[in-house]
Amino acid sequence: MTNDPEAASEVMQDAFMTVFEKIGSYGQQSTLGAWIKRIVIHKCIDYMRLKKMVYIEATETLASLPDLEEEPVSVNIGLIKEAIAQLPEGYRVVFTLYALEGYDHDEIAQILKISEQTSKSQYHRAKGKIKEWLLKDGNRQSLYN
Amino acid sequence: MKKRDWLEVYVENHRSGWDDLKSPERIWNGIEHKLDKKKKGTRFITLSVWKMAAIFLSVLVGGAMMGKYYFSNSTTGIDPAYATEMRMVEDHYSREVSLKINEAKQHNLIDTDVANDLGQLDKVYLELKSEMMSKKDINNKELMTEMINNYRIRLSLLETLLERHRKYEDEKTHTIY
Repeated sequence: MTNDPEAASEVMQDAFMTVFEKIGSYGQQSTLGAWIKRIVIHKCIDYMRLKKMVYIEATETLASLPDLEEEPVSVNIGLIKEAIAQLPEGYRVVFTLYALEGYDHDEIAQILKISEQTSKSQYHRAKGKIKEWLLKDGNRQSLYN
Repeated sequence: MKKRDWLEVYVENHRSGWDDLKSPERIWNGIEHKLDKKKKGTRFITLSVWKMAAIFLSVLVGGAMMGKYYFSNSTTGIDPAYATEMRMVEDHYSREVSLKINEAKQHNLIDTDVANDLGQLDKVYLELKSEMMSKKDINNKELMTEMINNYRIRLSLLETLLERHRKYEDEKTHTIY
């Protein structure tokens, strides 16, 4: 989510310090792994808030986003990861939380303190941007070769 | 059920591909180092506060004693009336200190270092009291003030420990993950 290995290290250390400090308050309301994951995600969001993460207001209409509705023949995970890394921060965080971490838009809205509608539109635009990136000339060759 | 596009399906089917990174050893070393530092830091703060109190007490008492040798012209010994008042003061404050110590013990706040420093403070107090009471040239009012200050310092230090514990417990209760 941070898109920065150094930042990720810092967040991870901070998160685990919190885990050790607050382990006494773990009440088995979820699995331990899920509880730890929530702490890590919260720390990540806190870190990015410090960096003043911005939610980009849409300037393009949904219709102008590329329509890559068919799965490319040889899509690979490396390209998808690169595409996600290219996203603006706000899009990347929402996409990561929804598609990778399995949070729903209501939960994302609470975590990021945005509206559910914003979360949904950010996610939709993130997908559009990923597909747009995949269609760029150099990347398309990697996709279809 | 909402239809998912190929990107969502692909990410879901290849989710494990995003868990390929392992944390470098240095991160765990860093966490361990911070945990050790936090533990030592707490002890250091506790120790330094107590030791400062002990030094402050010694200086306070020492200064008071020097003041008595240089400036006191009084020839009064222990006035029986003051002796009664001193006993009442001592009873009151020693009870207060005991209550705080018991409360601190209930929360396991009195570790070996704190216990040693409490013991030292107590020793200083008893030596002071004994030495002052054995001197002929004693100003009873000053003695009582010194005793009260001594107890107030101990109460203040114990309250600091307890307050820090209460804050920690409060944070634990109200932070929900």
